[in-house]
Amino acid sequence: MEIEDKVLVNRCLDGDGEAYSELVEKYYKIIFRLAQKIIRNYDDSEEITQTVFVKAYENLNSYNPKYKFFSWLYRITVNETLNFSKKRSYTEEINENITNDEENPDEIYYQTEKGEKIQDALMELDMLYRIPVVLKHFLNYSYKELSDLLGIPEKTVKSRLFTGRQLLKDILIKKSVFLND
Amino acid sequence: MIEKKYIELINKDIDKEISPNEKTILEEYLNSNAEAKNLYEELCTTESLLDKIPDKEPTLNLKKNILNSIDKARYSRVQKHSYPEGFIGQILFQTKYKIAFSFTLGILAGLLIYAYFFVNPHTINNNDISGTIGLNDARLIKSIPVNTFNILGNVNIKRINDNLSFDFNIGSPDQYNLTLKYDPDKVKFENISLSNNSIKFNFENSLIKLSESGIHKYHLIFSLKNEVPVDFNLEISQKGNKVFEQEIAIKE
Repeated sequence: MEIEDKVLVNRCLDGDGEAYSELVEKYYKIIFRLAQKIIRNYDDSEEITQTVFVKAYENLNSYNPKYKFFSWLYRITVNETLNFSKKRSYTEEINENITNDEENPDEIYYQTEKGEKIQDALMELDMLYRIPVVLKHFLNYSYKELSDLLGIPEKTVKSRLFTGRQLLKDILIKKSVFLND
Repeated sequence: MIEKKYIELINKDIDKEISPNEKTILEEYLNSNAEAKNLYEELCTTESLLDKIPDKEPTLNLKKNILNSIDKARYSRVQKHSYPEGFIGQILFQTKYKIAFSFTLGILAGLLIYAYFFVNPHTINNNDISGTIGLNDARLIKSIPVNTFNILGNVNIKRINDNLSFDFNIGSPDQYNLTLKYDPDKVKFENISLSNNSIKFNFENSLIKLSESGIHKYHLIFSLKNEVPVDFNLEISQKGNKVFEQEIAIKE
């Protein structure tokens, strides 16, 4: 997959505009979900995703093939998300429901409501802890990979993860999400 | 109370970064500490709850919007470097050669400037020259001493290939006349070098006459027309009287 990405990058740099379409197709949903997990706001998540891909394209010739292409995208995503978070506050958000016609509507409502509460709790976490918690959980990155991605020492990664997880637990307890589990 | 190192092990376990040895230690600790076990379970639940955050799908237009936002021709417009072939082309257009070429030019320019300002053009001056110029083939074949009442010196005869050199080194407080006779069929007078322009020199077909006083050096050069032997006659007179005469036979 990595090699395939690098081939596509080289094709882009050789002037093949279609090659970038393939990279966008491959990663735009992942980037959107990652942004959405961190900032929650749907429209802003789309805007971040768009910005990430535009910036990546414009700086494609500075991409170092020594690293994984998607790690590079994640790094841009984290930076863009932080830029957005400085502009706006994401602690409050209107619930947005995703429906699935094949599931029981009551169960869907219950699960969606619970999911929203958990994300509410996540949004209460400071960005300092939220980003490593999200990246660790959803990307399943190692401490070393997180250290490279965030540009901080492994020791700091661990510390932020442990503290973030503890804080999140306390918020979830406070919101009584544990009682419903 | 939970010790800090076990809190770290709990988190490492949740993060799937725990070693088998650490896992054993943690399990033993959790079995012996209810508070630690409770924290472990709560943190595990916290992690599992994160999975319940729904994955939302972006709008169908997102990909289209992204692709519309980028300039697809951006990299196709970037001209590939096409260098003219050959060394000159590389020097003029490839960065690495341009740098090397510029560096070399800089060095040369520096040397020229240095030479212009700090190195004076050196003109040859007689005072700067010392040493000897040797004629490898010169060979002394005769040395004739001259020792009369008031004339003192010698005549060295050298052979240089097909030439004969008569080197006179004679001194006298009074005027004297020197005559060297030779056979013009066998030798040809070529040249004379005088150390002093006051020396009176007269050249005839078979005679060379010099008149002088003081201490002087002069050289007469003859070229051999045939092989040796060749005869010369040296005569020195003073105040009308012959004071020295020598037949000189060159046989080698």
